[in-house]
Amino acid sequence: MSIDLKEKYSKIYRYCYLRVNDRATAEDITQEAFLRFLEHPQYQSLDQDIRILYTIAGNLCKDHFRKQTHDELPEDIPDDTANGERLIEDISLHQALESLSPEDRELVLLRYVNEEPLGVISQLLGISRFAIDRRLRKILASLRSKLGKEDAV
Amino acid sequence: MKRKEKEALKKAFGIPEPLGADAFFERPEFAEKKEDDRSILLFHRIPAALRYGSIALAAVAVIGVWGGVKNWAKTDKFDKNDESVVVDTTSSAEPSTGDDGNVIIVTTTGDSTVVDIITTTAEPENNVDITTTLPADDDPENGTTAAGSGAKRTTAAKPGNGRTTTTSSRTSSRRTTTTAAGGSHRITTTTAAEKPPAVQTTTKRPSVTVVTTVEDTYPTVIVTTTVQPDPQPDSPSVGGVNDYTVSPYIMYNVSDKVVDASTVQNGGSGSIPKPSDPIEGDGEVMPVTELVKGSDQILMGVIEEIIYTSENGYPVTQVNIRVTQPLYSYLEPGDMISIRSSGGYIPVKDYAPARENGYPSAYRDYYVMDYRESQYIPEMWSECVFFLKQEGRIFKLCTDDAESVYCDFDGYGRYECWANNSFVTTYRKIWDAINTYK
Repeated sequence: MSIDLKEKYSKIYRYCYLRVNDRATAEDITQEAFLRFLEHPQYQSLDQDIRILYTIAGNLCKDHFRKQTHDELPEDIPDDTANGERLIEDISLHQALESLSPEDRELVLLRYVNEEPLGVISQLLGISRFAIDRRLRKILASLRSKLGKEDAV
Repeated sequence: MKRKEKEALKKAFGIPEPLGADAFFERPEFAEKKEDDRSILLFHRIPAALRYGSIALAAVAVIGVWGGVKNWAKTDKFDKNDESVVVDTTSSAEPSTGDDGNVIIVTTTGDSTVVDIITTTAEPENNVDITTTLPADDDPENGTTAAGSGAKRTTAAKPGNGRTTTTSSRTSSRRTTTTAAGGSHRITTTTAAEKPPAVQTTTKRPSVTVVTTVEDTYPTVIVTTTVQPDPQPDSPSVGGVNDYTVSPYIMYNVSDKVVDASTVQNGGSGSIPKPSDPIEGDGEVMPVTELVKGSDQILMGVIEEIIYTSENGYPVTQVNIRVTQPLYSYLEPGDMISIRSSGGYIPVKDYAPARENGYPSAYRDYYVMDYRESQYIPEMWSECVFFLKQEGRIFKLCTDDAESVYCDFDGYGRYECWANNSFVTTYRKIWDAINTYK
């Protein structure tokens, strides 16, 4: 498997994990997204624009939540934190991230963790590159201010 | 953002590593697809510049070799001891043809009789006189009268060095012939005395020039056909230029009573706002190359009218501009067009968010100013470069925001992005991008 493909897999997986917050489900959705991508009418090669993969994965996450509303809630809700799967070192930064809206968190993940270019994100979210850049700056400023306050405390 | 900060963010998200990636990509579906993709993948791994550069080089090499072979074929037929023989023939209606079938008439017709003339002359290696014939309605002082039908002839001596020279001239209602030295070492001159018959029919595509090379006989003659662009529907001519502007169904005459959009939505103070200036310093903008790729029309123009209108309860600004320089466009200098972009002024009662959520009754007669971040706020008489997309008769900014507008700020061919005035480009860069991507 090429490094590029593995990197794409990791990116889509992180994107899904952020939404569903469960490793197994995120991985299932990621794999389903790749399989659907292969069958996609616009498919040309695996090296193609990752935007289509993000879109498929996002739709699959929505489908996942839609299905969940019809299912009964399980007795034991999986808690990744309890299982020690989360590798959080900077608790304060994590808390600051948690305080963001889901959309802003997703934006931060796409830009700074998955390191997607602004062009890809703008096409994915349907916002201009300029607007995304502004929004990211605001998010970072708010994160920094929160962290600064906590440090002061 | 620094690498360290990115790492910290990544850890703060606390996302565990996936486990099944390796096993997943070993599945047969991917093995098949990878085989299919192999050729494409290999091709795409070569940098784009190298890819397209090599294709261009190959094309140039092929054309060069072909041209060289043809040159050799022409020059090889001459000998140092050859003498030129001039034979005059006159034609009145039919296309003239030399003894060797080497003379071809090039005629183009449009609505009126407009002819593009390309005269191709093959020169011998040594000094051989080439005779070129001018039509009867040309300047009489430049020629000597030849026998028959008032034809005029000019003779020019050209020391040849084996190269092929192509000259062209453009006139209306003119007919000319091409002369060449052929394999029989004779130069044939044909004189046209009367108006030629229409020979070719042109297509009505809105392209500008079509160049075709005809190679059926020696020498090669390049036929240039000028196609008149289709007349635009409902485009009245104003003062010799085309007016493509449109009038929106709704036009607002904005009064002094203006409130900010957030004020109406939140029931705030109601202070009179003013459009903000271009943002200074921050904000990454789309590169000019991307703008060029995403545009249908690129032109420079002066804003002569600003109209506030609305679409679906949201404000829209229309500017009517006079084209000063079409950089990549079918428009001509002096043409007027309408450009629409999101944002502008709208009466509070028509503003969709205010209608849905309600608004303070005190603002009933007010206008809402709704220019969000990065939206273009036009200024009268400013001259800018616009990157546009055409939707019917309406032009829109290709990114629907101020990223697509570059304004001249120093008069020296430097343009700053309206969305971010710290981003400056030059006329040359825009022009280079157009030449590269269009």
